[in-house]
Amino acid sequence: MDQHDGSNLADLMAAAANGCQPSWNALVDRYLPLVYSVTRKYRLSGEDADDVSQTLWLRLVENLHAIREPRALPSWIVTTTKREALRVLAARQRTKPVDPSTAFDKPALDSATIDCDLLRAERHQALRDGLAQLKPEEYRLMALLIADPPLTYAEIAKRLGISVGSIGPTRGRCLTKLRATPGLERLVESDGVSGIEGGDCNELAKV
Amino acid sequence: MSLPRYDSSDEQLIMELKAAAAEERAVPPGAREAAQATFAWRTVDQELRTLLVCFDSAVNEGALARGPSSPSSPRSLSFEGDELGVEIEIHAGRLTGQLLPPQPGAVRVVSMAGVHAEVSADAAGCFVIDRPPNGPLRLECNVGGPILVTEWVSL
Repeated sequence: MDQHDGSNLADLMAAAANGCQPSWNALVDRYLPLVYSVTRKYRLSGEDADDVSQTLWLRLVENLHAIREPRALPSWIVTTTKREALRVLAARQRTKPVDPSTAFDKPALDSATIDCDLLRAERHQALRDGLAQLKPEEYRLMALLIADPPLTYAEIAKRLGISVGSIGPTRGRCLTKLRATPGLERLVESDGVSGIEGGDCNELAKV
Repeated sequence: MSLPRYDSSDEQLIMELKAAAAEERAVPPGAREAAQATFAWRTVDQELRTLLVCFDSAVNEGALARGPSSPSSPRSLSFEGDELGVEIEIHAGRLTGQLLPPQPGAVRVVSMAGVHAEVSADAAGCFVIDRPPNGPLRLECNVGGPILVTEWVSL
């Protein structure tokens, strides 16, 4: 996991719209995990997922000037990727014969579950953006705290050359900062308003 | 388990951060370079006019709602702009299309690999080409005046 440059989103979008390839690359780095997390919700993989991703980025290239509110970009990406995923899903259903012996192995995709998953995907994006806004030393600690496979506090302290006792307080401070990430607050608020905490989402959520 | 609240415990937030980091690792190799390369398609030509998707049977008929797949039904797509509309249908290895209102013109079907086909639309606006490969696609229509370009769509 790399810390992205944390540049202001509005600046990146404006620069990319004016032809700055490095700014475009930074946008790609930041949002590619979001795009693929959406395609996975639709069980698209391999070339199908790549097709959706490419269409998404081509669409964004065309619309850089048109997206007036940079903060709306993650939602725009989720919505556009979702629509393209549906296109590809439907197109592949038409062209691939159904094997009756396996047709019912997978439960049908349920749009309420997916909408719930998409909100979560957007929230994860806000968390990644929040991580990128941390101070470098804070970011390094958080990256080790969420490493896979997990590391012990002793290992983390050794790697960072800090005391084990300092990890807890720094961790607490970072989590407080992350909770205050603007996008995260907004998503939690909208969760409440849309009643997403209710039935379906509770039962089917995986995290 | 519900979506975590603003006051979710530290452990829950750590779990979420782990999931967020896992999504970053799950991006397939090569995807980054491919996405960066789409920047080459940025258009600086203000003369281009965009035709927007206004109907797609794949979306409008609800891929999720539909029962067993229906391989024989054609895929149809409509694009619309102020001056021109285009309807296309993909079926049995062919892409047939019509410019609306009906009029002759030149149509280019473009994929990321380049121009897939260049064809003339007849007096009724109709054209036929071989089915382009899967992937992003757009049509560039010349009926005199500025080139009219459709949004990219996944085929």
